[in-house]
Amino acid sequence: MSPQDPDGRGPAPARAPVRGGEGSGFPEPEGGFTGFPEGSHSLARMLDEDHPLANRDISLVDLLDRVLAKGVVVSGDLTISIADVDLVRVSLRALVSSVNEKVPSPWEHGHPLAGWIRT
Amino acid sequence: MSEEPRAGYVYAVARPFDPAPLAGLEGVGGYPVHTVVVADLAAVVSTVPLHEFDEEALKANLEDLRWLEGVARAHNAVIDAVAQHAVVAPLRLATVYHGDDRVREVLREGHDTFDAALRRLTGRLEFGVKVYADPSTRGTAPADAPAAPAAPGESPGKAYLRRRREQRDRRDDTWRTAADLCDRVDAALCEFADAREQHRPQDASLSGAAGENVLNAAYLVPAEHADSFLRAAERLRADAPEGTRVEVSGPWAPYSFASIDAGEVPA
Repeated sequence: MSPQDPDGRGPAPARAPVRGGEGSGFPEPEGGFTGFPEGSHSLARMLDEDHPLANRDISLVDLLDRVLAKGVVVSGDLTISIADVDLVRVSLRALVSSVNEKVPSPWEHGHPLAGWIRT
Repeated sequence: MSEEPRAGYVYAVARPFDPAPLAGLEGVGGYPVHTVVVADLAAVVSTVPLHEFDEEALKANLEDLRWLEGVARAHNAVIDAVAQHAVVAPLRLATVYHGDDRVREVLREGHDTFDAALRRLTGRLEFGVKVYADPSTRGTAPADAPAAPAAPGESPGKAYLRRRREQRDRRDDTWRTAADLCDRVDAALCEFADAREQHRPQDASLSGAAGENVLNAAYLVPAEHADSFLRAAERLRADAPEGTRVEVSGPWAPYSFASIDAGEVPA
């Protein structure tokens, strides 16, 4: 298992693929659309394959910036308050220090909690 | 035997779209994905076992990095897949309801909010831009710097203080350069953006990234300006002064601009 594929469920999504459907106002990428739901590089298709910004894997740190701290907050029936990220952050701190001690650097793209833990 | 209690994990709210492409898509926990439609809104949902996402489970699971990464990536993969077909407002990770009927209620009650978010996000992409300052990459590392020839009559103490001052100047200079770069980056990129959000700078000691993350911003860019935005970003990246670094990510689904209070117009 790699950090990119923690559950062995198939390729991790690469760049967040956003591509327009009809009428959504997005430009059609060149080269067509090769596969759904793989979609692992579909957003990057907006970019030229040679583009320096194309085809790089999503950093988990960047992803957590977005899924934990951003996005529409509606109160779920069952969710603990992730909006209150501080709570989560506090409880994650212990984990991070233990990870740092035992597993020097398992994260290809940097530690996923970077930025979440402030000391 | 009674059936296992279920819950609805909601990824995002979108405009209704043909859900055929969702067939075969694996959401969080590997569970399938469907839509719940109310009028001009479609919630993107996985039916999950309640015990995997109830409060107790979430409290434990959110501290499990492997679980968190798996769910975060699945969450993102579903949202990306939907974003290829419809404008989408991502929900925060792990928003869970007692089933599709409750999701319908939420769509009805929150209609105006979701509708406004989707209007704002239509035809727009998010890009991430980070600026790093790394004084150690600027010139020779202080410890290795050859001692400048002592001025005639300079005492060892004075020479020491002079070297310290030079190190400090070099560091100060890097921070000034980085601060200027942040201003230039932001000004240049706001030209092409509708909105800008700041993320918390990422902690260098944990990320392992070289240098100090001094800017961690997201820009909401109209699709027709995406090329110009990326060209400008690439120029900034290529021209970053010594001791600084610019990193660009995306396009992302518009996570950073989905909430109601997001979307300030850059000055």
